[in-house]
Amino acid sequence: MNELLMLLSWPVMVLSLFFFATGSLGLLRFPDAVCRLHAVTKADTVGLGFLALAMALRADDWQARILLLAVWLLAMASGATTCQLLARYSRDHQGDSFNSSGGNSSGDIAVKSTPVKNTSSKLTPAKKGTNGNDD
Amino acid sequence: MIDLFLDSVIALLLIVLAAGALFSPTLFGGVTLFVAFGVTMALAWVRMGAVDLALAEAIIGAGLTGALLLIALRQSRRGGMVPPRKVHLLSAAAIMLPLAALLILTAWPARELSSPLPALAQANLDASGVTNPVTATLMNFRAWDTLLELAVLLLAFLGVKQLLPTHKHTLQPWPLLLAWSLHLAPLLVIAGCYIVWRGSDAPGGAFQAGALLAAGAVMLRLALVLPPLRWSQWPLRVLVVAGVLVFITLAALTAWLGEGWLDYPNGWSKPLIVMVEMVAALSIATTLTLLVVGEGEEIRS
Repeated sequence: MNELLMLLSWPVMVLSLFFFATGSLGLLRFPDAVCRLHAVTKADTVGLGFLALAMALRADDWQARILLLAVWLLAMASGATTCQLLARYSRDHQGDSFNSSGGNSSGDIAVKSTPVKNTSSKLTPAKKGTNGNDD
Repeated sequence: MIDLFLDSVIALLLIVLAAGALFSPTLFGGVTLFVAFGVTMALAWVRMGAVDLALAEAIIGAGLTGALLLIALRQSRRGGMVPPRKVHLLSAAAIMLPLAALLILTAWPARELSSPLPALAQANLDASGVTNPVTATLMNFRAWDTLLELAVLLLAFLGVKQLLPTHKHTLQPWPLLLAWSLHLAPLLVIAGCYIVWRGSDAPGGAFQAGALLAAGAVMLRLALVLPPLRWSQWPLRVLVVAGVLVFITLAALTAWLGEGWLDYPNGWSKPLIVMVEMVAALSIATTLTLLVVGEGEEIRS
């Protein structure tokens, strides 16, 4: 039974690696801060879940398995909250350096939250006159 | 083979992240890469078997120092890096390359040597009162070093405190941050107390637990749950000084009434170590909290 679980943990680990890799690829290639946050948070959380599952399959006792589950839940909650906070911050600071797709890297990040300036990012906040291509 | 591959990947990653943090075009990117460097360094410590160090590096080096740098960045109002001049790069290379060569030449034969210290620590573990050799070394065999470490932390904090400006800000925390910090703070308190208790048997200890508690306090302060923390409030002053004070009192008592300086009496090792670790954890937590979010005031708009 133990050998079977060990053998089963390998494809689960490969799956988790795949999710981590796609999350990082999205982080590098997506055009906008919010899209990048979306990719990283969702894909990395699922990847972490699969990794925790693989480790739980290899664990010795139930205490370790429950701990791994708790770690995954806490990482998921923390990731979701941080993603929301970062997305709101990037929405409030539209024209800053980290909000463009790696192009113009000037900008004062200590700018106080000014009204939304829609400069180069493709994100359109929920204003009245824009077509609804935001999520 | 897999081990060699993993270790070389981690080493390469460390160098790449350090170079990225130093030469990033924006200061914000540099700080982010520095935090990533701290986490990778913690991974490197785990690979070398020093789990206590990995915990301390992840919490203090990556977490609290990252928060400190971000707060400093917000107050500095500068977004871009000044690219280093050629003269600086050449002089840095002229100093660092011979030093690195000297270090490698001196340390190269040490790979084959084995230190007698781990065996000594293991042999005397029963007499030390705890079962974790790292804690036994830190809190019993070399307790003098830990006392000096706490004193150094206190001195560093006093020095920084002279330079800390009282900064006022008008930011209102988002309700999400408030709710999250209220959920996370009890977990951090539990984790901190557990780590300082478990330091006797497993990786843990006062520094790591104190840093966790400080992280919780910093989060609560940033969400404006805690009132402004200032050096002028006497409970904080008592907490900051308590670590060094209790340790020095213990040392003086053992020197005066006991066998020698920090020579714990028989059978008293474990209670004394636990007491010193708990007070030290509270003291380190207060010091780190004041370092990161001390002397701040908000003007509620």
